[in-house]
Amino acid sequence: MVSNQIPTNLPEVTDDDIRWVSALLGLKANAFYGVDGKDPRQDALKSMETVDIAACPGSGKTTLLVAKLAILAKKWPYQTQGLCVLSHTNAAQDEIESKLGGTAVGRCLLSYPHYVGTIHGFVNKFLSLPMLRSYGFANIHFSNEISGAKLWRLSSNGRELKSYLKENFKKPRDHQIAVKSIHYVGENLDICLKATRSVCLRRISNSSTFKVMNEWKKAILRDGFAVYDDIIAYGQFVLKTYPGIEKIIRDRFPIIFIDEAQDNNEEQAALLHRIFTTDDSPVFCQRFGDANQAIYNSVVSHMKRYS
Amino acid sequence: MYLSKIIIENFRCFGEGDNRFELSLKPGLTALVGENDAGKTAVIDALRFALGTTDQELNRLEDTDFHVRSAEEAKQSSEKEKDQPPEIKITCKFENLTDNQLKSFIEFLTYGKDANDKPVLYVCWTAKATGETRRGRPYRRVEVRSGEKGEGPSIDREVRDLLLNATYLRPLRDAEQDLSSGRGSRLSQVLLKTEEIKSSGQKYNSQSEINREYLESLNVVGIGDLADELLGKQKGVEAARNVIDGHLGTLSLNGSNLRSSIKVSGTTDDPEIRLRQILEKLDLSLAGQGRLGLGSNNLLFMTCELLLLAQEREGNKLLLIEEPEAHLHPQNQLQVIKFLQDQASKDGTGVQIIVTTHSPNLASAIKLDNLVMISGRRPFPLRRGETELEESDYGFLERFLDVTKANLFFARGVLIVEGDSENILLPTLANLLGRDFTRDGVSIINVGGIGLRRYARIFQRKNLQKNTLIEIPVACVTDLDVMPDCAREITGKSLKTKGQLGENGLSDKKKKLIGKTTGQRVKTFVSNEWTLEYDLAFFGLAEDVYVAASLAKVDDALSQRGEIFDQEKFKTEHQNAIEAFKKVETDAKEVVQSGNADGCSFEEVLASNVYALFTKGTKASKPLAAQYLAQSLKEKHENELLNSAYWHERLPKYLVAAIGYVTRTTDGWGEAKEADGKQSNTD
Repeated sequence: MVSNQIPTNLPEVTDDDIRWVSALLGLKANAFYGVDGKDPRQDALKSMETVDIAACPGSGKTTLLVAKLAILAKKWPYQTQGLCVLSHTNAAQDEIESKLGGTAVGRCLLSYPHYVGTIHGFVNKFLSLPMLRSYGFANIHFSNEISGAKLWRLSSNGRELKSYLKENFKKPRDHQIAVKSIHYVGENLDICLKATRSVCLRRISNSSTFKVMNEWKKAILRDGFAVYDDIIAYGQFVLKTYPGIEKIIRDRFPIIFIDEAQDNNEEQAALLHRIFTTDDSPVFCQRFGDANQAIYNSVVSHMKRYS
Repeated sequence: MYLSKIIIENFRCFGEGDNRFELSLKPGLTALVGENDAGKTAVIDALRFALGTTDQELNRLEDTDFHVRSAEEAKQSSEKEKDQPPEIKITCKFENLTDNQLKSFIEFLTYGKDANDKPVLYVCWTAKATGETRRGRPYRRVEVRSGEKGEGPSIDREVRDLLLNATYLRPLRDAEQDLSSGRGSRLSQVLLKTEEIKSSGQKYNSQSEINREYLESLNVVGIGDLADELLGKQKGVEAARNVIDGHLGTLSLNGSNLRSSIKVSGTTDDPEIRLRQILEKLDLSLAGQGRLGLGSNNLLFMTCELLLLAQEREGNKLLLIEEPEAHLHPQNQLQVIKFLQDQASKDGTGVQIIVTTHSPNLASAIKLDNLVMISGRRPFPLRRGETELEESDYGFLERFLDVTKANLFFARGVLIVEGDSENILLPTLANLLGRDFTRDGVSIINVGGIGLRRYARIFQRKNLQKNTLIEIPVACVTDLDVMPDCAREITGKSLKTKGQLGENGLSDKKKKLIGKTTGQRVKTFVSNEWTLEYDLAFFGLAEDVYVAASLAKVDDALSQRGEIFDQEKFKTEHQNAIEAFKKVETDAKEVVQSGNADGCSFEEVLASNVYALFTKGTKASKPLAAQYLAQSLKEKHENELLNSAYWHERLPKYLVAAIGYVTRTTDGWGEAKEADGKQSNTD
């Protein structure tokens, strides 16, 4: 089917908007202008391209981000396309709730069609959970503690994997940690165990140990449980299994904001890269992070820096 | 995207489990047809609840919307279920989402097992009685969720209103009201969505030179601005305004200077709002006409709605129309349904239309592929692949299934007959037997000699499974067309005779005729002896048929000469016919006694002689004779106070069985059952 043309004319941020948001946030009218009127934060607010916005910790990055989101939400012209705001913690979401909670733009930002939340939450909402639901696994809770306990019980307290565990983990007390950590990795849903070291079994190895652990994973999934690390792997699995999903997500979110980008691990960064910035139609990606921490892994090539 | 499946549980007449309502739909037009109370409106209302409607009319859930289990259903449900108040569950499946729609619904999608399957969208609406009361009303928890079983994330009201709302046209609506001007009028919405309204024309500039060309170049708001300016300068308006300002001046407090302003539309400066306000002042009516009837207004209204839907970019292009036949005369009905059918099948518009109707007129104009019969609270799509109809049947029925035959979609029992005589006689015969086709909802379909079986196959399901049988009894009444040996000479016909076929040949032929069109609830009833008129004469109405045929002959002859068959003549001719019959009867006796009857019985000889009136010389018209016969039997029945037992003995067995079969919705009769057993071997 021919796709309907999806507009990507992002709204423009004007000086009027910046004054409006300063008032909304209870800041001085020139809060983002500095004394000489040449504040780089002004440029950060106005930029609608792919940029990295780096500043010292504590310099008000999150406030800057919230201000920008408020302006965009107010001027957002689309009903079924939204802003995507990703952070390592729920910092951005909390900030919006506390600073904009009572306002129309605040409520708007936190509901359809926008997304504000953690990367795990995003992958869950738009990739992993719909897939799991389609396969008959509904209402999945991601809990390392409960999942671990269930896995440990299924393994008869480690007896079933005894030789495998001995082989890979020298210290006996690592065995329980390893079994409780059984999780999926990568688009093929390989299985890894993690204690003092990490060991993995490829799905294609088709080994009996893999099969046993895979059955346990499925069993606790049927009960409605999985571990956090599974989320990203499921997300990768969906991208592999249903090619074209990236394009649909990009259509939905023409611009994304990544807060605290320095805290993302490589796997998360790679997944985000795959969803939003590979191929010929990358979306605009603005990353807000600390200047003095190395956070980038060559994902975005054309960046500007403000400091 | 289109609605590809709807499942309704515990809503009004629909139960749960095997008793739920489940219907698969195709893109384009779907027409739900069926008798009253079949559940057509319940389907539409279920969709209105589940998807919401663009008119935003509040749909309050009532106690009566919850299904009440019948005794039988209660038996089926388990102990645990019995204690639970029923939960209404309405599941809508949408398929073939465009990329644009996919992106809007990513978090709600359901993927197929196969990566090549396009993701689908389920909308699952549930309502559960909580037993609590809030503000004096029973509180019911209503949820709209995604996922096949409603296990997915909840779909917010905003999302539903934006993307899922269906457009609903109620039956007997006040189209004139809907089309007239006013806040939020449909017309203003249509106009607002028309791209050219905003893009064409220029703003009004008071400095410009006003000439005709300039006036015609203005946009809608510009026309409003110009009108405002002219009104402001108009002497009368200005005088009135001065009066008002005078009063205002005396009323206003010191310092506040109130002044009035008279404008075409509102006072706002926001061009968007101003445009809407101006458009809301417009009325839509047909050119050159005064006040219109409801029918024409309805046409206009439907056109408006389709226009709106076709332009819809994001939302659901589902249009629900209940009884579009309301207010429209038959020819107009046909036009409307053809228009809807065309619009819905047009590529690119993506409009899906579901209509309900109990108009045979409409039903006859809708392609079988688009028809869904609702019977016994179950849907029976008649599209290719769902019925025993063959490809050639679809073409045939599209041409021949006209309004007189479309009754069959609304019947509780169907009699399919070959010709006019059966059509005329069978309702009367049913009355004689104590049955009433009208009361029992039996339709007679007169196929006029061709395609009897094709009509019957409409009622036969392909891949019959549990609950997919159409429970409507369908009787095909047809002739055996084998004659007694003596009839060759008496009637001059040259069909195969009983003697030629032999006993085995005869029963083989019968079996073959029955077998061809029997199965599921369709049964074929073959004349016991030869043909309708012959069998009537044979089984005990020889005199009645003879007289009726004679009268038909006279009637025909008189009308050919342009004379009138008056009361006087009728009496004479009637008496003559009775006399003539007496002679025929005596002659027949003699022939049989003298052994010159080719081995035929007295009844056979007599019936053949009666039937000869239709085959020899100036032939009697069968339909005309049937009319005289129906009339005389009715009079006889009433004058002589006869009971149904009397007629059971004297009517052809196959007709008695057929009538018993199609009217057994009330009760059956022993003979009928017996005859059923004999007639059919594939039940």
